[in-house]
Amino acid sequence: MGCAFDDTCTAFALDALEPEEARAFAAHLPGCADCSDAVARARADLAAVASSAPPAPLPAGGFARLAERFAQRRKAAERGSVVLVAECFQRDFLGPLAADERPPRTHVGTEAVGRVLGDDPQSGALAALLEAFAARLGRDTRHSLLHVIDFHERDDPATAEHFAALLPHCLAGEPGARLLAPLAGLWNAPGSQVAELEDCQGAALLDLLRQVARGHPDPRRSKYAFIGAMTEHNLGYHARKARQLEARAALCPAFCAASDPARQEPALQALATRYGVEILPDGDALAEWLEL
Amino acid sequence: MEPVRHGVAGSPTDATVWLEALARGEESALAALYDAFAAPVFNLCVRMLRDRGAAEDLLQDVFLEAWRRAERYDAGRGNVLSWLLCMTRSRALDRLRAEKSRQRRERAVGIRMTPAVEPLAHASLQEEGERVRAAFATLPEARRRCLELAYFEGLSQSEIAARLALPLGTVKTHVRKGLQRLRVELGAT
Repeated sequence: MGCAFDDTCTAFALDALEPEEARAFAAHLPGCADCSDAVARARADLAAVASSAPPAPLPAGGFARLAERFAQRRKAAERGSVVLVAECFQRDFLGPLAADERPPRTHVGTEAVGRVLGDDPQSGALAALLEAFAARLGRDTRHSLLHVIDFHERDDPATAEHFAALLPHCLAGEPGARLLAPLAGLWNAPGSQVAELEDCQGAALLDLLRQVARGHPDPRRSKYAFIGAMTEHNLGYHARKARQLEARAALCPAFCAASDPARQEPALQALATRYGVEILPDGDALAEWLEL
Repeated sequence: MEPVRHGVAGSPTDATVWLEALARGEESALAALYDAFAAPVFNLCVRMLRDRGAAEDLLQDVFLEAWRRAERYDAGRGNVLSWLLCMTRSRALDRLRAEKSRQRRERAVGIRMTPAVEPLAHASLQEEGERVRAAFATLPEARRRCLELAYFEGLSQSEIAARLALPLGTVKTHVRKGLQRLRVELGAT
């Protein structure tokens, strides 16, 4: 082959290029018949590499379990997914503060914390909602939960600018990054997924929202409710993404802690009128919307 | 309706027909695909994840994903087995990467980690796939190793170079020539 990308074709087929190289090669590919052929040939050859895996006895009863999951998912798919997106339920955003504690700049404030978590986070409205939601979670059920979390390494140069604006917060391994009680209990629940805040940008978030509605080929049949400890701006951003999937999206202000209540109301109205995001007045309305 | 279940690996045409039926949600088509292809898919799951429980989960997830994507299968881009294996590898790599992220996140936000699963003892070699394994064994050690790290462990070429302490250019050549040699050994054109 006379092309400068000779070695690259196989590596591209293997997904073994560095992201930048992969992007450059993907741009080159459509215009180069030699490379297109070489990539196709390498992909075919890779099936042989897969077949070199040593044989392992198939699990007993494997098909019966598959058939059961298939039936469950088919049933779930007929009605669409119900996804609860819980954003930054972490101490540095809305952890209860000690009387003499100075909150980090990311914190939504004591008043907002009280409104969202209630007097007792273990038994308040949020806990009741999550308990009901948890009962519906499972690998093949309609309901799934997406945790969106934020954390940073203290000395990571990439976060310097972010910290300059907001001061250090959610430091990995420190109390500020901790997930709060009602959500922490659902961290490893089946049907629960975790995403980092930095992942929730642009196309990555769209993919994630699609993926979390697993088993449901048509995202328009899914619905996404957003709650969390971020500003109305961030929650709105996510809700707009859900609307981009043409799915139903809802926000419940009772479970959304904005740092600036004066700006929350107009932001919610804009989401409702411009993007068709449904605004649910209270926990009961949210529970009903989530079909609990 | 006549069930489409077959006890043997069907012809590529059969497999395409099964996928069409699967896209319509027919369980008998899922059974036919499973009978024909579960073994090579599972071998790959075990080889990549090295944990039998996780491999069993992945095996099921691959067939569930095949159902979800059946409609978009394009026979012009490869046969059904290659398509399934390609999907298996992608999902296995997702899991290997997700596991690393999960551990990182759990440490970061102070969540207790779930206990690790026992590693799987290597299954003994059987006749199935022997020809491919024999061909693989004829590759020079360095080329085989580069190919395995790229394919089964999902390492990038730079990561392989670092792992094996080889120059990047050498790794690139090993990967390309290793695959070429495999093709020749298997008598493919």
